[in-house]
Amino acid sequence: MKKLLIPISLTIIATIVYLFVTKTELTTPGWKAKLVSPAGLADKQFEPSATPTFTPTPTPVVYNNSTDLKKEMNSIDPQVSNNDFKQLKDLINSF
Amino acid sequence: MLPIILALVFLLFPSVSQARVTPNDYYQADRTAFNQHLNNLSADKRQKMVAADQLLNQINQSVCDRFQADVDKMAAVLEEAKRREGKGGAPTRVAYGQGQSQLDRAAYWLNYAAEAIAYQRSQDYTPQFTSDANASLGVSQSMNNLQSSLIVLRGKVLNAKTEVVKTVTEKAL
Repeated sequence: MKKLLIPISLTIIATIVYLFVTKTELTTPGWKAKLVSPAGLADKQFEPSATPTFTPTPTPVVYNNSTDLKKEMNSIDPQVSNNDFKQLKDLINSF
Repeated sequence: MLPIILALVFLLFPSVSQARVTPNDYYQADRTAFNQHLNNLSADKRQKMVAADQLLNQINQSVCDRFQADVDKMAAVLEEAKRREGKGGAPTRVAYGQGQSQLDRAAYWLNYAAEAIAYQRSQDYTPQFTSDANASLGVSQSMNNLQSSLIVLRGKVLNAKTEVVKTVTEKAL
């Protein structure tokens, strides 16, 4: 029994240390991400280019009983035109 | 003793699968690679690559702004339609399957389009390249990806428009 005392103690201590390091947040936040991502990247904060909006915001235009809603809807025409990409295509051609 | 020590060897190496990798990590990795590979380009192409990278983002934002204006207009039309039906103050159910009226369906798809626009705004189209040889190919691929995504987004806005038009014509408002 005395021969097993040291290995058992080592096992218990190692298990506790392993659980402490991998299962809790008490170590430096983000240290795990640093293991698989290039050094230092985990510290950088993501800054989105625009604030997402999840509910439509009505326009300042005030509609009333005399508004022709069908006409308003007909005026809506979402398009992705080639003009949007013209400058970029010219730039690619100049590469 | 030796078998126990050998059994404990796995404790020396933290499990890679437990590491947390977020979308921000991928974004930062792409940007870091982009900035590093810029040094591999000639001065002229480096300038063009930086301009192309900025243009990709500008195009994304400007088209999303246009679609957002359309969605805002549709939202105002829907609010007016609600008011004319006498439901001006009542909240609209936007959870799919909850509402039974055309008004509720239109509100759902309008909200869906608005969320899709917000999601599209946050997308990143950093060109992938390593040298002068594949610089234009990298920008072309990013441009094609952006164009495809915007066309899909347009489809969602058109779908919302269809539903709002149905609402407006249903009650002959």
